[in-house]
Amino acid sequence: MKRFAGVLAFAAVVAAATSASALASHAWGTYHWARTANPFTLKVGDNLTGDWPGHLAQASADWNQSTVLQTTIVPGQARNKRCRPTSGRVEVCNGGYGFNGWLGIATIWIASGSTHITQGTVKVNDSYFATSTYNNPNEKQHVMCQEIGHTWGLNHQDESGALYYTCMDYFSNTGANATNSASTTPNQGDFDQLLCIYDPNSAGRTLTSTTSGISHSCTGTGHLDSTTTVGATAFGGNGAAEPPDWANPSESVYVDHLPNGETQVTFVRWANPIHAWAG
Amino acid sequence: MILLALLAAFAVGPPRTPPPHVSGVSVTPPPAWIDDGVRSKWLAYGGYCWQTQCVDFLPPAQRTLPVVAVQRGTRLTVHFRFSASDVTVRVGTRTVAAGSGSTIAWRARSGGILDVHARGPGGSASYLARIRIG
Repeated sequence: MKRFAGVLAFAAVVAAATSASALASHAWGTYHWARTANPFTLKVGDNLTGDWPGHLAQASADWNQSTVLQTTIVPGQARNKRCRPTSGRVEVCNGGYGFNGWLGIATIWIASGSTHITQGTVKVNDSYFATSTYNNPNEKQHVMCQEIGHTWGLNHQDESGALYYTCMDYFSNTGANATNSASTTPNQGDFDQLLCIYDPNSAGRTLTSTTSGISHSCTGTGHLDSTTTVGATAFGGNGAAEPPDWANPSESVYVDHLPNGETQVTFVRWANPIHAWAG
Repeated sequence: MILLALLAAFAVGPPRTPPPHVSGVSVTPPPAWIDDGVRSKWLAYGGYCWQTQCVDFLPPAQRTLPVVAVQRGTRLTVHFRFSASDVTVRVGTRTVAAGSGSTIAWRARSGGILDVHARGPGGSASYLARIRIG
């Protein structure tokens, strides 16, 4: 009996080691766009230059395979690479943001006292994408798909760098993997996660899928809201995505209570650049 | 009581250098640090979705990371400035520790990229360094 239990334990360890599964859920907290009906359509502002518009168009089309979320690309209103947000939609920008270690950033704003996303921005960093290492279609597509995916309320499926067959992983399409396109689009796990976040009919249900041997599951929490933040103009569009110029260097957290009722929380770490670790 | 006071007196504190700074972002998770029982060092940020910002970095292998050089068998401890859940510690491709809390410790057996992934009240965050076995 003891030997049998040992064999079972060994088998369990082997099974755990040989099967891969994504995080049980990859929602970004409980953040979601408020809306009164499904499916809903988010406007995505194109402020892009070079070949980026093509990557945004492809990413938008890929995410539109969702049954609950649709996206439509509209002219951008962000003005420049600082990427000023616009209420009720997502602005997407590119620019040379410096050799600071990051390829892409997604930022969302939350209505005060709620978990409702009111606006979002995406920045992709041309300081790196202009270099031969990163300037390839698959890496650009991967990052664009992932960053706009964050603004729907999604986190990463995996952060180990392994191939998880989704743009919400950390697989790097560089070097020998530059021609690999397996992580440039959302997979069924991402679409399931959107249902888990937004679909009331999936509330309380566990949705499972397997893509190329990678399993994903999530439990639905979706509900409809009494108001909508999608396309809403009530929150204005001039929230500051960057620390204000007047920021006191001795402080590290700024909480701005905006006149429109929105809260912008900005955490700042000021340090001598000589100690910068990223990159 | 005296023993606790002695332990506190000899405990390795956080580094005296400023914590890591990432240019161009407005949100960072609380910084984390590592000690080997004698010295301490800040870990670099890996990718994170914290509060209202997701930041996606270059692959760890393509970054300049803090180096932690230790003897094989040295006990290493990572300190978070929050109560972490679902902590996973990988060195290279091997998972060497998992757990929860404000610290997590393991014995260094091999070198490679250290990737500490944790969930906290603000979201999920990764912290990075390079382990060298001397």
